[in-house]
Amino acid sequence: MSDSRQQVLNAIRQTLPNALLPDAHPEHPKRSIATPPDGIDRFIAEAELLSARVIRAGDSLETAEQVVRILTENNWRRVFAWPWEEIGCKELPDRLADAGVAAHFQGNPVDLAALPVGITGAEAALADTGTIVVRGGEGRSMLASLLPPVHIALVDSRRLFPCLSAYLDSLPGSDHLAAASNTVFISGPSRTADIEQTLTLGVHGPRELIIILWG
Amino acid sequence: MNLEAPTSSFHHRVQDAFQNPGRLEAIRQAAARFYEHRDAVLGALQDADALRDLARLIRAHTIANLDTYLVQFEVSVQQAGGQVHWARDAAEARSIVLDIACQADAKRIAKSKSMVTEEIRLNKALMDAGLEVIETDLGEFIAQLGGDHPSHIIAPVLHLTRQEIGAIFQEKLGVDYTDDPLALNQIAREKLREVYLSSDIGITGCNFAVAESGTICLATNEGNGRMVTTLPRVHIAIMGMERIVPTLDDLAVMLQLLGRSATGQKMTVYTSLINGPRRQGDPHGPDAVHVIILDNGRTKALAGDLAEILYCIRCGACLNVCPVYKTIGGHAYGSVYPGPVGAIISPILGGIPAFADLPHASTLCGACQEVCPVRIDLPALLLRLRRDTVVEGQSPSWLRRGMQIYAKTASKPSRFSLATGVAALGTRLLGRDWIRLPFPGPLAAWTRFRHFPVFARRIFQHQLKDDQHE
Ligand code: SF4
Repeated sequence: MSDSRQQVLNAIRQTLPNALLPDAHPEHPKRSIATPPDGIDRFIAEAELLSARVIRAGDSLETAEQVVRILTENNWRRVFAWPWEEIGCKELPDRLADAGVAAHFQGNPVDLAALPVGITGAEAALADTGTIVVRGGEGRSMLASLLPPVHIALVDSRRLFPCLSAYLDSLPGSDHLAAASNTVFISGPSRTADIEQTLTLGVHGPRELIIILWG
Repeated sequence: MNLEAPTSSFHHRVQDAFQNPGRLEAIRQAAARFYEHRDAVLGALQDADALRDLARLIRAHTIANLDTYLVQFEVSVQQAGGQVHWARDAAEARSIVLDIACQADAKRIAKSKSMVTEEIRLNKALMDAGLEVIETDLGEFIAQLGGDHPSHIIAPVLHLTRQEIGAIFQEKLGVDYTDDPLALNQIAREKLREVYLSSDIGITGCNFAVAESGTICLATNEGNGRMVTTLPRVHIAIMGMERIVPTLDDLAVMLQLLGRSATGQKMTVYTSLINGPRRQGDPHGPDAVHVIILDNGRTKALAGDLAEILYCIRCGACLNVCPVYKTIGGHAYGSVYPGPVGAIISPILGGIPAFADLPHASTLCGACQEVCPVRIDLPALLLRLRRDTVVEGQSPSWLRRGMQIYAKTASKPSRFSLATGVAALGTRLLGRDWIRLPFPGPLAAWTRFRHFPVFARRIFQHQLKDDQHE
């Protein structure tokens, strides 16, 4: 096997000098593309274009109330959630308990798949594409944003970036993303158009994405 | 060979495609829709041209330093707890997957859409070994159920109607017939849920691999890619060795172009970044992540003046604008990789004898180069491949014979002038304006669909002489 590694690398090294590679330069090209000065309005417009629902909330108390309202309106009594400290809305656990909502944070995926709604945080929102950045890690199951038919994501509006590049620029280095085994950029609910190009939501992932942009 | 050779000739495959005009129409409409969306979102993007220039520079730089970046990527994956395997060809890649499956004592495998696994014909090998393999992308799932092949890089069952799909579901899944897309989606959702939750291994391709961080990037819309990389115990990602980008910043540039060029989406719904298996504290995720780096003929591409094709990011935009693709559809290419990009990749990987016709299946109109997000000079590559088919003695026989006759005739002025004189007389005798008669023999196929032009009354040599005398 290590033999194959050496053979492939040798083959590349032998052929590269003869390769016609137009526009190849030895130095690594750097970006000098202007980032658009997009803000909250753009984010909401883009996310809604993708069939996501965006709700604006003030402080964390109002955010918690919004979540409870959505859950009680739909009579959802059980949720698949990230640990509260990972979501960062401090009033949420008490409010949910008051409303009689039971939260599950981990467990067997077969059981979790039966829950009607998933609640997660998001570490950033990207305005120009209506995207939220959901990063896995300590306690933060990637399935909470995937298995239930509805995904509610809470995003701090101070974490809104004009675009993906601006978000990456804000990170100290590549280590931040490399430190999580799984990160996903989510742009709208699950969709397919495989059958006669007819757009359908929720083919495998959530059919509904509700983003609560707070602060 | 690295790519399976088609079993029938190009002309037969095209004839087959024409048997079903409804399918071809569906392909044309979808291609037009993708292209319209692409045009709109790229037009709305600030600095789209500069972004494409940058993407091209990044791809060029990466391929020129491929060995360095592959080694860096390998180290990064290992640091993240993943395992890296190298495969020289399809057979080796298949046996690596089989070994992993055997060690994991796997029975059921869930797959997310990937061209490269089609390229190495992985499914058949796994099923021959007694494993159950299920495609989970809705289109691929339908194609697999129907025993069909994908016809488009992005939309695999573009060629099937909802009625055909309804019939396939009824027959293979034992459900009541419906041709309502929503209901069909729901059936697939339930069926595949069960598959995700019970599979031992998830297999994916890889849209991009980031050298600095060891990240596997997967761009999907349905969420099946996320399922198969989160629920099964083992995740195997197979990547063509050219899928590399150096940094996450470079990845951002590619992601800004991939969805926009492919379907006109600003971002695919789910863009996953995978860095090794689950860590301490992760509630879910695979226990093991394997990455297979595949050569399978790509170093052959690197060896000469076709290497630019390795800049490709597999967006499929060149298919959607290609007049030949829109006329004959994907299956007629006889390869996993159809369209302009396929007409170049297929003969490189699969050998010129098997795919000698593909470089000729182009009008060289240049639309592909125009839309390519990394500005690959596809027409130039097609021309170079045509040259290679001649050098290898694999050009179409009519072309070879025709060129031999032409060479004989044109090498002597007297013969040339005689021949053109005869042709001028002949074509005038056969018809007045445009010749509408079908020709016999080798010209029959050509004249069945086109008029044969009448030659000028006076041949050029005579006109020239007259002019000089004046
Ligand atoms: S050749 Fe260019 S347009 Fe065609 S699939 Fe590759 S990147 Fe896209």
